[in-house]
Amino acid sequence: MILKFLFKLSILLNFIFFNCTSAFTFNEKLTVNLLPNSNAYFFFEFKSIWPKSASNNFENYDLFPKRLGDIVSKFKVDELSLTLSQGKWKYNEWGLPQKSAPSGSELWTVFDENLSQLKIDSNWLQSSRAISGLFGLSINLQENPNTVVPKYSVVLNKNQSENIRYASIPNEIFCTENLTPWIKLLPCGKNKGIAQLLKNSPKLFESHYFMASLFFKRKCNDQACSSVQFELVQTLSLVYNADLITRQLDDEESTWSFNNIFQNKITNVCPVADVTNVLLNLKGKGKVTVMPTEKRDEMYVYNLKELLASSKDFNPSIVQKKNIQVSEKVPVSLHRYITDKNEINFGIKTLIKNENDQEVSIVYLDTIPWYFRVYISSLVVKDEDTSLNIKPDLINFVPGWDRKKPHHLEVKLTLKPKSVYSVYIRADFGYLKWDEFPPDVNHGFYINPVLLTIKSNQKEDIQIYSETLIMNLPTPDFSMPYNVICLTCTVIAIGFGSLHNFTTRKFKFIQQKNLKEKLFEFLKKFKK
Amino acid sequence: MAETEATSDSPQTNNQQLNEEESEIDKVNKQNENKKLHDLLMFNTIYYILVFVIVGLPIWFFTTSTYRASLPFDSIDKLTESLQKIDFKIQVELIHFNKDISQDNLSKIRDELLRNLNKNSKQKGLVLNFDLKTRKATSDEYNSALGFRDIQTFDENIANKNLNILNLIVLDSDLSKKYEILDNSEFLFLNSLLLNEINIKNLEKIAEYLKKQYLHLEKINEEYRLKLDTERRLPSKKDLKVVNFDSEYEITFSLINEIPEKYSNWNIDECIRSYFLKVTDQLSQFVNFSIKAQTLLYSDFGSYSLSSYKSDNDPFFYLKQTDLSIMTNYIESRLGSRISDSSAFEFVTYISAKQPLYVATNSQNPQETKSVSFMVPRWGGIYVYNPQDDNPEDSTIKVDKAMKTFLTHFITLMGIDLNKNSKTVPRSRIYSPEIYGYLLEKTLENQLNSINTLRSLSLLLTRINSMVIEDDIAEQVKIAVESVEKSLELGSDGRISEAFLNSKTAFISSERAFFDKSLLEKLYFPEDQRFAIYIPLFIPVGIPLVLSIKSVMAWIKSKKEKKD
Repeated sequence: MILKFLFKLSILLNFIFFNCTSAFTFNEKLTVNLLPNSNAYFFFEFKSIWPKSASNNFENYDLFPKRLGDIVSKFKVDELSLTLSQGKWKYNEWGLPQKSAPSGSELWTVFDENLSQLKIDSNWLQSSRAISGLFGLSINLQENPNTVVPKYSVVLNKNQSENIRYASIPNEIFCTENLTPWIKLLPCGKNKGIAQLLKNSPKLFESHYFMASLFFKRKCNDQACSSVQFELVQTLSLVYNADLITRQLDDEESTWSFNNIFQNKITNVCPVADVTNVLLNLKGKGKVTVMPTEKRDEMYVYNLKELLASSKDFNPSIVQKKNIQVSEKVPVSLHRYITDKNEINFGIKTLIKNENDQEVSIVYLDTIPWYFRVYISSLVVKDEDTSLNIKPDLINFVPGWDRKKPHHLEVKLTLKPKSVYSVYIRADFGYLKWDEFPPDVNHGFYINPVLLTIKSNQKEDIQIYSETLIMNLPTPDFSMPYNVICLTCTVIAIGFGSLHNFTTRKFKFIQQKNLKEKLFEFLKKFKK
Repeated sequence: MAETEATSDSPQTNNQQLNEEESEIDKVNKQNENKKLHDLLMFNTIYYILVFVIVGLPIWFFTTSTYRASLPFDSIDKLTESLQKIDFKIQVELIHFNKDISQDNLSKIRDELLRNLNKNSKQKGLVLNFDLKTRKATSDEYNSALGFRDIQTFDENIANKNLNILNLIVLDSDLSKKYEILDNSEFLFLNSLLLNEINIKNLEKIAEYLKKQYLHLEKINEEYRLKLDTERRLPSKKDLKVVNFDSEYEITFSLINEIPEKYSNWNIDECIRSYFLKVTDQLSQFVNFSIKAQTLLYSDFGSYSLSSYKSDNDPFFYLKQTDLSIMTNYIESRLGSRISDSSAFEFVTYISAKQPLYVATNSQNPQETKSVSFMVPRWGGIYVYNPQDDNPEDSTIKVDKAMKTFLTHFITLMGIDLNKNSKTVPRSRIYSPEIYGYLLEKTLENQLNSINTLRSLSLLLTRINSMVIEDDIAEQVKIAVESVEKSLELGSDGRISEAFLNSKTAFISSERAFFDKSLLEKLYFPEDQRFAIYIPLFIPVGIPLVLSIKSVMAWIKSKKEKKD
């Protein structure tokens, strides 16, 4: 009896101990999914949790990255999300990703609720600059205002507030120099653990799709928020085509190993990681050489802490079938394009297709830069099958403001089963000042992708992104200023000169002289 | 053309026509000679010129000129002149706890000491005026003095109360025995025995000691001399070492751990509390500190390899003196960027995977000269930690020793001169006379720096006319000028802590004004462009107008002649 009691007490004490003085924790996980046509999807997930110390005098960040901790503390950030990606996730072919991202970069932040809107605006600008500096990005939200305050989308499963700022920066290019600081935020860097696979970073950029993201959250431990913890989730998505990498041609299946793809193996686990797992989702899509430590349904789980204690490295070979089905299909597919373009304006059309047999409720978020002048009157939501106009559940439109903010459109829709809807809006080309054009004008001007939030009652909301569009604006010839000066000179000389002459000169008739007389007179003048 | 054809066909009719035409021409010409018309045309011309001068030229001038808010150039010039003589009043208070000293003796001591202190005082340059007061310790003070645990608490409670006054304390034999002060050169405490016998030589010594050890007279004189020499702008020795002055400092303690499998913790929280917080609290009324700590695992020193000392019983790795800068660079790249602009101290504890690792000052003889830490000027310090020297089995790393070293580094990098005669060098507190010395030195330095900055700024702005001066820069300059003036005044009045705070404001505002990027905004815009943009105004409009001035002059002349 006493023993039992002691045992219970020890469990209780243990529980209290771990809850109150729990230190920094770190988990890492790599999920591998096999996709059709010998594509493989690698999803890295690193999760750090740091209980913020209560002391006001000093801050011991422990293993939590101080550079990020400083930013979120200084600007009073509650939540922060940054994604950087290269390539486009093919929703139709590859199904749903573990985490969606638009091409280029996307940044959103939720600020402390006690801040004033004005302070939030300045904190947002400054923090975006700090983030940009930290990751070597070129986000410049002051000169390229792209910020909106979304009302119905972006933050998942959370009460929406005015304290959120969202910006999507489609022209940001993701490169190794942005990845290095991202890796530096991991406690073990790329020295130990599954991040060892990221050592050869140029190899990572050979993938079809590459996305790195960072999600920070300040969490209250209790109702009164007397103690908080910082949570940082870093994820990395990679899609490789195994055939292209191994240079094999087999009609039925392709064989590859981790070493083939990353040119590196996992040899050690990060000593501070509590869990280091590799999850392999085979589900009748292929075979693997290494025996898993655990089997959940069709998922092979490799606990690397156990595995690497006995073996030198972890480098499984996988035989992948080519003709396989995507395990998780997208419930709604999205396609966006430019249509009806003429000299003055153009239309943007987004097709939304419900792939399900059930009704789906969605929120459509569109941010269009201010230099495309959008007319809300031209907004048409149509059922493509019946060609009937549809009244959306809700429309939230905030018109843009030149050089201050973009146009912001949110539409709530309920999609009928298997239906195709279209959202169409027209926009005029705006005129930029000659010094507002980006260095490379011929690249065109980006129109941000649409973010579609698919509301779900049972599960978490799903977010998918459309394509990024590129549009050309009327572009001047940049040697123009001097031409203008010359032209105005001429025009003014003609205009003003003749006016001045007419109003200040006397006009006299004179005898017409022949050449002889003219010459004579001229010589006479000369003689004088 | 038609007329020429007509001439060739029938000369007679042509002549007739010509005559007729001529008479008509004459008629029109005569009409044109009409005075009224002539006057009207002249008025038109004058009107054009006036519009050009009154509207056109000002528009051109104001749209192309740069905005320049007015600056107090006169006050800046006056401040520069006032640099030739800066005076500080040093208020010294002698508190004696010795009941045996008679009032008579005491006043003699006072006069003699004051004479010694004010001896050799200069008329120009940096002038220190001493003011000496004596008083008996109150019975409260005496009683509490008997109860204090150590000298540090004594200093905190008796001497530290008013930092505008430099305290000399005379203890009696009981108290000096209690605090174990046997030698008069120790700390700020003067032995009672010494002062009982009025020995002029001793008083002279005390005066010397006060000037040298407490006020660092030589150093501040050198500082003053170098700062005044604006032609050469040589940095002083201290300038090269001390972290840039700022109103806020960020102190970061980093642990770079290459053996996280074995050592997982460090007792940094406890160490910061027991070593750093006391010192930063003491200075907190003058400057702000934010203290942070972080742990980093593994380091990447590229292709860099450590030297090793091979011996049978005691082999070790070591860093050569020349390696230290390379090492510091690698470590700094690992530490990452900071977001605040305040001055920073970086203190790094490094646990190498190669054990043991030392720093050798002499690579010829690493065995003899090995140490564990080095200070990086204007940056911080690095401590190489070897668990085997401490307690190799404990998974917690005890950084007490490192912290003591860092504290010494910190005090040096802050620019605080410790009393050389004080007993223990790595210590957890600064004494009040040391803070007084720091305040005096920094006040002077800030005053000199901000006046120099203001002068450079005013020179720059008067020389380059196309520099924009925005209102907020003018505001910063105004604040700087006012604060320097106030600080100089307070300094000569002996209120050193207020003088310091004002000099701090002056320094920060003047730097902010000088480095504001708006000053450079239009500098790249060359002068000739101002004309180029308005060439359409100048050439096609200006030239006809200038040419018509001649006829207007002639017209006015003829008018005048007529009047006469």
